[in-house]
Amino acid sequence: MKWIDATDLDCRTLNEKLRQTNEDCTIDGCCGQRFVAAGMSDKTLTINGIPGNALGAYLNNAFITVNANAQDAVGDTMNEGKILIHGNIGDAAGYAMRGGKIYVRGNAGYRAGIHMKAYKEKIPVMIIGGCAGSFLGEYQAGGIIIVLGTGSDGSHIVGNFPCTGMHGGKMYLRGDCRNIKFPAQVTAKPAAIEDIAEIHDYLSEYCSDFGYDMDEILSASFTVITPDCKNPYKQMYVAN
Amino acid sequence: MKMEGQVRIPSGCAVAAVISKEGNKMSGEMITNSMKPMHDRSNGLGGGFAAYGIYAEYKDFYALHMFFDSRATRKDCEAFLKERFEIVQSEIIPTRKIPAITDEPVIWRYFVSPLKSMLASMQLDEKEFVARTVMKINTEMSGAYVFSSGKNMGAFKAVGFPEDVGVFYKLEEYEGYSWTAHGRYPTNTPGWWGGAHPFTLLDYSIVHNGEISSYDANRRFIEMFGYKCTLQTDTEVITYIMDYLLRVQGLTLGEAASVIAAPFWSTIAAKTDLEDQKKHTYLRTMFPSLLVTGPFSIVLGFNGGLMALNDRLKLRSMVVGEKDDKVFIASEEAAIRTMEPNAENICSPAGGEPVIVKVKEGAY
Repeated sequence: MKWIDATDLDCRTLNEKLRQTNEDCTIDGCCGQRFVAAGMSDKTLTINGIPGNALGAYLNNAFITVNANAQDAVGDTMNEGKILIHGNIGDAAGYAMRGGKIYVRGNAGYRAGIHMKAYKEKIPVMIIGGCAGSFLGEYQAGGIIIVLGTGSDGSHIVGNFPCTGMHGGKMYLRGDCRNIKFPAQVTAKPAAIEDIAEIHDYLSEYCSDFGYDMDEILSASFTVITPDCKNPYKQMYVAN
Repeated sequence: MKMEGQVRIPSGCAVAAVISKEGNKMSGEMITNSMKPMHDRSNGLGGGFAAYGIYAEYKDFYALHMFFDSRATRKDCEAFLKERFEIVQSEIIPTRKIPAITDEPVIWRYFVSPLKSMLASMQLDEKEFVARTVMKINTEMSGAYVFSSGKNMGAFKAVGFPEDVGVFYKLEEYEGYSWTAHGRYPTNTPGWWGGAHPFTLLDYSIVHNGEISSYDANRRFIEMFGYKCTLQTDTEVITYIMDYLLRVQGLTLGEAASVIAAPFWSTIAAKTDLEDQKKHTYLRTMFPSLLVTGPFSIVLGFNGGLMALNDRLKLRSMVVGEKDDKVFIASEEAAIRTMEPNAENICSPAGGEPVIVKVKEGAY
């Protein structure tokens, strides 16, 4: 295990230090350095302090733990690996991610999971323990977004305009979602046993990561949201 | 060199602010340091600060901070000022020579009081008179530019990175109860000192991260009321809009926020609080041309407080934190942690939801 003191290091120097070693690393005193661990493979990294924007962008199978909040664009376009955030995350988390996992104990800002996508065995998963801001899953094209809403009264676990432009993947919101207005091109319905079975392993992993009780998480009903057909924009531009 | 106003300037930017609700004074060192972790949000073509409560000994006088292109322009402008104001103090704004800041104009400040005879003959109140004088100088007097005109407050701005601008203006020597800061990232400009943020009028100051797509619609409307946008910089128009809504129209801060970051009609229609629904319908109907669209996160400074606001879609980041008597606002949490490592209640306000912080009455 290598310790890196990030105090007064700029983002380039900090990332070079990370790359100079094959050991797992702990960063102390992180304060706003951008692109930490961008594109990184096969490394375990623990961050104390506040990592800057685009933490783990293009991540390629590294494992990052953040013991505080993270800023905007966590896991931008990440491909594989796992990012575990013990606090809250800023806006646009998991922007266009195409694989791997982002697990957040607290809340997410606006546009979490914007343009997530999936292909064959690559299915990105984002779990938000608290609440999510507006435009959750905007243009979602694939993958799984789960919002648990723990610590809230359950009435508004997401902000306005969730699933705007959603055309693939699945979203799970814990609760009955009576107060939430969804756009016309998606269907929201109570999750069936098979739906829950699909995310059971992820939830179980999440609960053990953050010390939640799985039974308690599953004690409330879930709502599952999917786009109405495989290609809702068929023939919008060309006949396909 | 082309000046601001001849070139359109889209910008990226960083903002930060701190205020003491008890009115306790802070030097400018903390806010200057807060810009360091956000260095990459700026590109060295503009940095600036607004400070409130710094001129206690001249608190009854308007503090005019000015850039001049030459000594001759300053002399001419001073003659003009003397026709309109009693000038109680006239001095160079102290700066420090540092390699990071070069090509500075003549930087001067005047503490002034409008001549009673002028107010009487023009039938204007003090603030309107000062505002009109600022507009007159900035549009008609080539080479002279007023960049700050409030009482007991001042803007300090330059071409450079904000952390260097703070050092240049010796901000550690000023004591204020409220500070705002800006780092600029114009992508298409030669950069001029007047184009840096904050943009101010009277005691209103705006620092802004974003790019307003409604600029020209807003400008055409606001110019009907005597404001002149001289720099084509979107932030300038927000400053004048806030002055118009707050000072001229007498709206509250919350109402002004509901005008410039009005909720969607669908969001208004879905409101269950009918009074609130009626108010929002009224404000959108009254001031449709002052809806500001496109991404923005702004901090408005004024005597006795701050207001932070995001565009209704929240296309820019904004984080708020607290500790004891202080409230911190910044584009990134890292900036808040630099000011106060143990800041609490860190949160991101929703789009269009103003965060208003006021100093307790009598403490400023």
